[in-house]
Amino acid sequence: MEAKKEENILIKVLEALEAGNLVPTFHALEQMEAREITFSDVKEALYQGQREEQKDDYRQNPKTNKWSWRYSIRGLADDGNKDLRIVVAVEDPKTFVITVIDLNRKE
Amino acid sequence: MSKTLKEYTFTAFGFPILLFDVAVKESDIGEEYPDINMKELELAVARALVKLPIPLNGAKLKFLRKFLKLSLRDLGQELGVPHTNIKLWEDNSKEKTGLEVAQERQLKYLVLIHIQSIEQKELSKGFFAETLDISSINTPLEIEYKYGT
Repeated sequence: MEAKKEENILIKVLEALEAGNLVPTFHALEQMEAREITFSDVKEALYQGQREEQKDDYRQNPKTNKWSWRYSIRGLADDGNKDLRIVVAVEDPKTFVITVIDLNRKE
Repeated sequence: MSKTLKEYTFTAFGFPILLFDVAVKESDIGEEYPDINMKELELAVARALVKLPIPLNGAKLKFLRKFLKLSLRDLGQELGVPHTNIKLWEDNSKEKTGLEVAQERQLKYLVLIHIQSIEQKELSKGFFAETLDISSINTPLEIEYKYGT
């Protein structure tokens, strides 16, 4: 089953954020703890974030065979100390934070 | 198919919060997530911190500053503290901040006003939470303050 690509993903994400429906997956929560990134950082980066369309990814869930888009958004947080790349997926009414990377941090 | 975690330590606000009976669901992308409303959780944590009877640490100060959507400079002005101090306290996330009791009460008062403004908006949507007023601020002046000389 093919998935439609969201045209205005930034608006979609901010709507989910305002409604409390932007939810990190357990995988993202583990990454955030290990990388010292808080949900406030994620919010801050998304509010002034920009699309990284070239990083978008279209994948199939091998368990369900469903295809879905993963969108990449990049923004600064923590007074510019964190340069975050946030990967999200939309499943109305929720939007999931799947991955968060701080590009300023050396792993 | 969903399951429930009896207890889950949520750390994404910068400090551990113990949640009970968290529903775990699997998304279409095959990733599990805690089925929580982040806005309600954030509000509940802010309310709990207003009533917290012990001094804030750096992580909690940072959470409240972000909850208020204030910059370091703006919060510094509100509390009469150099923003560089606030940054230092926030960076030492597990340590007690250097806020004086009156400053911490002022911060909690700002949080209280912000919570009330959110609740005013949410009331029309049927959201209900226990009413907080100024007596909820649990940073006792009489214990910490010495009056006179």
